Amino acid sequence: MYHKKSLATLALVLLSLLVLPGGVIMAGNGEPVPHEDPDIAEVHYDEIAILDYYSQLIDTALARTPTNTEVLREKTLFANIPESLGLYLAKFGNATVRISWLIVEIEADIDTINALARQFRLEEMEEQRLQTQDKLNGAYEQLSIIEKSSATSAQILGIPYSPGDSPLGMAYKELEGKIALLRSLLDLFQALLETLPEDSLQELLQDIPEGSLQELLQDIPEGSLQELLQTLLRPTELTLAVEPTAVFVGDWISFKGNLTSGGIALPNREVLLLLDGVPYFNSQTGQDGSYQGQLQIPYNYNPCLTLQALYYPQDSDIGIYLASKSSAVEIQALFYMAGLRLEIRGKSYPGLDCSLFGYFDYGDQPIPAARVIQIYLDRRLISQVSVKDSFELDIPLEPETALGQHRLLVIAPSQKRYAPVASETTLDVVKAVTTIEVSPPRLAFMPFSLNLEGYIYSDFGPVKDAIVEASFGTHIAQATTSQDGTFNVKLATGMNLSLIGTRDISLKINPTEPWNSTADSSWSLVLVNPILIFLIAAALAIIIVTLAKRLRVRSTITVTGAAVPVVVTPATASTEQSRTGITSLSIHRREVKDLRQLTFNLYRRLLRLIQDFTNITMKPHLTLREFTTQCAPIIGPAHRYLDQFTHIIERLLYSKHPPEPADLEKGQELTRYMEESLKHDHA
Amino acid sequence: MTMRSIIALALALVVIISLVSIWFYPSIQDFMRTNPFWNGIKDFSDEFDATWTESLLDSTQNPESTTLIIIPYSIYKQDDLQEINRFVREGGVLLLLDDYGYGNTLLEQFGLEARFSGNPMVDPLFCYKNEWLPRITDFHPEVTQAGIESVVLNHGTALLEVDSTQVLAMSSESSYLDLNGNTILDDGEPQGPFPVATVSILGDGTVLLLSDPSILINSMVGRDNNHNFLDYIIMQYGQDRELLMDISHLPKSPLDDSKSTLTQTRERIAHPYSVVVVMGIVVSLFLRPWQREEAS
Repeated sequence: MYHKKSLATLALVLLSLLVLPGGVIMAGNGEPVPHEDPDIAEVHYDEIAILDYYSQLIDTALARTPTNTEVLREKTLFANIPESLGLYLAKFGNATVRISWLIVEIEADIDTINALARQFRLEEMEEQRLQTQDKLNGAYEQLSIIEKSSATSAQILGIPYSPGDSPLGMAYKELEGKIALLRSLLDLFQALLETLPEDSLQELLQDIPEGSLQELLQDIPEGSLQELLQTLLRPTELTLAVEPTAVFVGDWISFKGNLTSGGIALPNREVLLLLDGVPYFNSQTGQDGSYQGQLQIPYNYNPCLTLQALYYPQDSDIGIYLASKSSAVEIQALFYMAGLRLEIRGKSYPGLDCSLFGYFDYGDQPIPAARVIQIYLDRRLISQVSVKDSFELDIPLEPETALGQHRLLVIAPSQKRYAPVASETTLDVVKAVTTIEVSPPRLAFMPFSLNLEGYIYSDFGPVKDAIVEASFGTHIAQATTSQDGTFNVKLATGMNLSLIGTRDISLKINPTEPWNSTADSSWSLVLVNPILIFLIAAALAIIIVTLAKRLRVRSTITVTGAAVPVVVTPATASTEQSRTGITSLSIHRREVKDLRQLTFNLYRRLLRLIQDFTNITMKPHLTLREFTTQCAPIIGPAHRYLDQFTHIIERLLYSKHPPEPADLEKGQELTRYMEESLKHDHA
Repeated sequence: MTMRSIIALALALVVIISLVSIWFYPSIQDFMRTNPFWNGIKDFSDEFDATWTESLLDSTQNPESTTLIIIPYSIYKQDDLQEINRFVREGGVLLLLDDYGYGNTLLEQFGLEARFSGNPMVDPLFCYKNEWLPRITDFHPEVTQAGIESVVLNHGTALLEVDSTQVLAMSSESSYLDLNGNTILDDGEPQGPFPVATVSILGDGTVLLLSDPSILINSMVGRDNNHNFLDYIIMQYGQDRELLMDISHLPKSPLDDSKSTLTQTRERIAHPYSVVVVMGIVVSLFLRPWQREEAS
């Protein structure tokens, strides 16, 4: 009772301990709060965003905003980029910052040089030119670093392995284009520097003899000298007018202007038109110094453009005329923008077409008759078609398409007045679930073969030509499903030493169609080995019969004794019979249990005989050994038989020794000796 | 020992073990002070000496000397909204951190135009590890002067309809609102930069908005300059004020409720009046045998 209470208490406490805190904690998981453990967050890089960042840096340099370049460069530290890219992005950023500053400085220097030239401060101008040339050389060095680091970055980002018309490839092309613009700008600066008078003026002055120059200068009045000098390096004036100033991309605009120097027209001179500060178009002045023409607005889809005309002296003008720029004219570039909505209808399966629905939203703008779209699956171009403003396309998926989510990108490239538009959606590729319908047998007999029949189907109906592999232990059988998806497999059960037991049968279905999933099923059946059971049963029967016979013989014990009225076999009863009435007895095995009692009876009988002979009564308080000791002087040497029998009885009484026929036989023998001895003494 | 006494003893043991377990077993619930793991805010509570309160009424009693932090992850009753409005207008400083909760309800109550977008703001370029952990690098000059260069958010959102003069921190140009949650910049999805931290004056008080409460959790508070940024806004607008954090509108597990109840019970027991009552009971129990003896 005490243990039960203790156990109950312990169980109660343990149960409470298990239930309380655990239950409380388990119940704590409510709605998930939107955040993730940053220490184990998955690392993901966006290569296109990284390339856009490179392009943004170049944009700030082209826009002559070095402070913005610096601000943007400083953010490099916080960009999520591959570690191997860090060094090259840093080089790219530093070079872009330097070149951004250098561009601004070089432009300012060129203006200064022009101003110095106008003032005929030739030595200062030459000094400034050399400094500017150094800066320009430095800019070229930085450009070289930019080009090299962008090429290495492209390698790291895997751009050589992606198609050129993929989004990543296009992002890199855009960057390359911007770097090319940067180079053309530096080339223009170089051309401008090369147009300065430089040696020609020096040579002109050197050609005049020193004395005559002095004389010449003294003879000329001061005002006229100034005029003379001005004729040596003449400033130029350039105008520009554009019509219209708001125009669609791809359309043409008319431009016109005049190039003059001191009010005199400069005919047959080349005028360079800069679009957003970068050389774009060349024009030639006519006999009246005017230039005019038409230029096409590029398909850049940048709403605000600036156009500026530039003249810089070339060939024979070098050393005579100075460069000049017109005022910048702002042009509003017009274009159509559209939204693109995508939707995947239904499920997507490998090897089958998926249905892509798309819709261009042009708002109030005119809808084009058709538009080319490029479809990328995981950044790989898989299709290019011409579509209307809404479309539904069957996108073929390769049989090897991995299951799971894929990115489906649709790009509608620019099309004249229509700006490019792109949209992305997620494609979830799954396989159709293959179902096995089979009525499995629950019982099989070895070595008879097993017949399996079934039907395989999926969302697409019966699965035909699928390989059905049935395995049963080491036995494997294959079959192919028919056109209606049914199959029949005969499976050998084989032969082994087991009698009866359960074993698993498994079915594995490998459909040939990539859109159907593999399927497997298994179940247990009872396997019976009737042959072995029969053999073992026969062997057991033989063994049992043989053993039974042997046991019957062995369990028969021959016992002699008079007082045991048990089964007496005729054979044994006739063999021995003493005068004291002790008879030879056949004691069956089941009677061995009574040996103890028989032995005790024999001993009691002997005791009575001793008591009669010695006239000594056995008192209740005496032990058997004390009684035999008391009788020993009267019995004489024969008392050793009584002692031995007493020892046997004591062993039966006080030990775990089981009674044996030998004990009874020994008792009978000792009793007989005792009787003979007492008879002899009595006589 | 009888069965009744054994059961009584077992129950007493269970109660004691349960109380000890509740007291010492750490919480794993988000934003819990007793949660020392990545999503708890034990570090923030310890380092900023923030006092937790379950009662809005208690925490809004002294507006001029209190900075109240609220993460509105469950809806506020009208009375609570009015109480918070009064608190701010009478000089309190409110730091409202929200991303996908009920922060806009409070902003409506205040009459402010700013709103929490409620859509995930991701940044594929300026981020820690992935776009869901955007890095904020554009700050108000005063914040930059305080040495803060970058702050990392964790699945945060953006603030909309914000006056540019109120902005303390902005996301980068490469950030965008992922309206459909596919981590792809789709056509029509708004692109950054977006304000993520602002300050507004309301009556005599100040409302600070931060578009990601996860900045407070243990795994975020020490990342980049998050700690310094929090320190800056708390000290700049609430210097020498008691920092209270309202946990009444945070999701709690039964363990947290039990811990809270246990703490409140202990505080009540530790009250001087309660101590007197308990002492009285103990003394009376102690004297009871003597009284019986005298009676007999």
